[in-house]
Amino acid sequence: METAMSDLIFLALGLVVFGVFAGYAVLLRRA
Amino acid sequence: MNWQGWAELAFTLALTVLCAVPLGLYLGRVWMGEKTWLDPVLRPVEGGLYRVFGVDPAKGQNWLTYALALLAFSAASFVTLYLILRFQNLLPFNPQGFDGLSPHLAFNTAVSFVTNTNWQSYVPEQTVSTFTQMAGLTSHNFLSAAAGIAVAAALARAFASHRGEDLGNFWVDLTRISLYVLLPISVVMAIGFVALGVPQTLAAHADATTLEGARQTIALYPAASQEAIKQLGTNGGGIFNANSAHPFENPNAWTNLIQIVAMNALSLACVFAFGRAAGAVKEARALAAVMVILLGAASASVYATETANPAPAQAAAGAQTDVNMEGKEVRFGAPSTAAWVAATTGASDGGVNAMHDSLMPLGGGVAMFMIMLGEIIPGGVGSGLYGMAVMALLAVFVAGLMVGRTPEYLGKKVEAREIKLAMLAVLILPAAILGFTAVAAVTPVALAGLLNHGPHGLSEMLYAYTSAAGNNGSAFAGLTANTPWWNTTLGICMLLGRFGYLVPVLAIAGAIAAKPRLTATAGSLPTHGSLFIGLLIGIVLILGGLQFFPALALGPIVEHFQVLAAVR
Repeated sequence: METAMSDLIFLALGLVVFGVFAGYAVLLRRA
Repeated sequence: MNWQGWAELAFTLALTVLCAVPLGLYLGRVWMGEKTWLDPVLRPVEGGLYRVFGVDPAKGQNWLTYALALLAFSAASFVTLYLILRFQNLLPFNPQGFDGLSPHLAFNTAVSFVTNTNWQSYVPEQTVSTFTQMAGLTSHNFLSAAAGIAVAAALARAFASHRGEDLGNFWVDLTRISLYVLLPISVVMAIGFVALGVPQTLAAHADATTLEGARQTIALYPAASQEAIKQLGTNGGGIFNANSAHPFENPNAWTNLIQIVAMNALSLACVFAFGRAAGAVKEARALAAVMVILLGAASASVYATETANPAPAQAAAGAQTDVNMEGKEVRFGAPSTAAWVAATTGASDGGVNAMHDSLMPLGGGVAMFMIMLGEIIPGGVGSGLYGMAVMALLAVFVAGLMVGRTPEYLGKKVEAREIKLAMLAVLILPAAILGFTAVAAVTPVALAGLLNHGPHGLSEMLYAYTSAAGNNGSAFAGLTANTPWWNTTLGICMLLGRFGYLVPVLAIAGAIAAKPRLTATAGSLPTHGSLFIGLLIGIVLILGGLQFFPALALGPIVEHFQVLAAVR
């Protein structure tokens, strides 16, 4: 259970960072 | 120090340039979609892949679409690799019977291979299965390298464009670069490595009896195929923990020479390809000249520090020799080590044939400094070219301010937007490296991973974050990095260094593509002569390097003086 939670956290962390960069790209397009 | 050593450094560098020129011309043809001699075999495969994945090769992308495609591809790669690493115990080709990696190690490793860093917080022969190595790690050596080269191709198209927005198609670039460049060269190199003694087998291990009669289990992998793309794609991740200091990865002087040349050749070739694709052959030669001059200077510096300085252990023992062999592979000695250290840190490769922690303090400092310059000498495949192009934009801007000329580069006016974006890209490295190092320096869980304290301990931390943010992947050694703190923060650092740089670069490409292409006038600053080469070297050293000087002063430079004081 604890390991499954860790998996979710690390997968989410990676995907959130990619999402932030996608948002960053959109922001730069508008700027 | 002797003339043979200097000759070896010069020969290695000359051979790299000699290989890069024709490779660059070929790469340029691949970028432009021109006919190549591999077309009869690979065109049908290429077309088949487009049909399977639903890619329309004629459809161009603007910079934002290109960037989002790259990010989506990298995110999907991250998830896939994470799952392979976590569940390798359930997957085939696991003759060693390895369990899945821990979540934080899987995160670090997945990020590492997706960002072309290949930092390894683990001992490969005790951790990853043959399947993970081949399907997970080696495949990403191809794909992450191809993604970097794709961005360089997009930038070249931007400079060639006249009031356009089409930077090409990311999926087409990824496919063509993998298929026409990385795969065929890797196959040839792998066969060559097998001929030179590098193992290529699915067997888990060989059993041997030592001279004392003890039984020894020697780990085996398909090493030759990994070795080829490891160097060609500036990946650097070892299939064995000792990396290219291991006799199976790098058995002799020939494999050593081939690997040094391979880790720089394709990055330098990207510059020549850029010149061809952007219609700026002379200007590309100037960029290549800057890379070669700085790479030569770095090799010479490491060779000098490893042979001219007093070796502390030997001085303490009263030995009469200047050469410090501590940590170096005896088969290669100081010159081959120096050539390798400069090549692997300049090229964002990260493979090692000696442990950088064991270099003299200034030698280790040079290695760190090369990565801090932004991995542009000649840098990672593709990323070195676009990093140097950013520096060139800043150089023409600074020159324009100094002499009152209109800043323009390759027929494109350089205006406020490009400079702001260039600074966003350039500042990501110091922010990530110095920021994380500062936090780690006052965090007990981070400090617990250090083997040394004082200046050398700082160097170990600083090197780790520098290597991660620069997407280099080499380890200084002396740091126990397989902990939640180090795996997580280094992983974030790798993502920042890769995509925090790459996104503004693609935005610059979009801005450049939209501008009209102007003809050079008497008011244009020539960007191909020795004056510009000197200016660009200055910008690279001052803008890229000076911001790290205080941190270097507290690490390797202080340690250098401590060594001098200790042996006197």
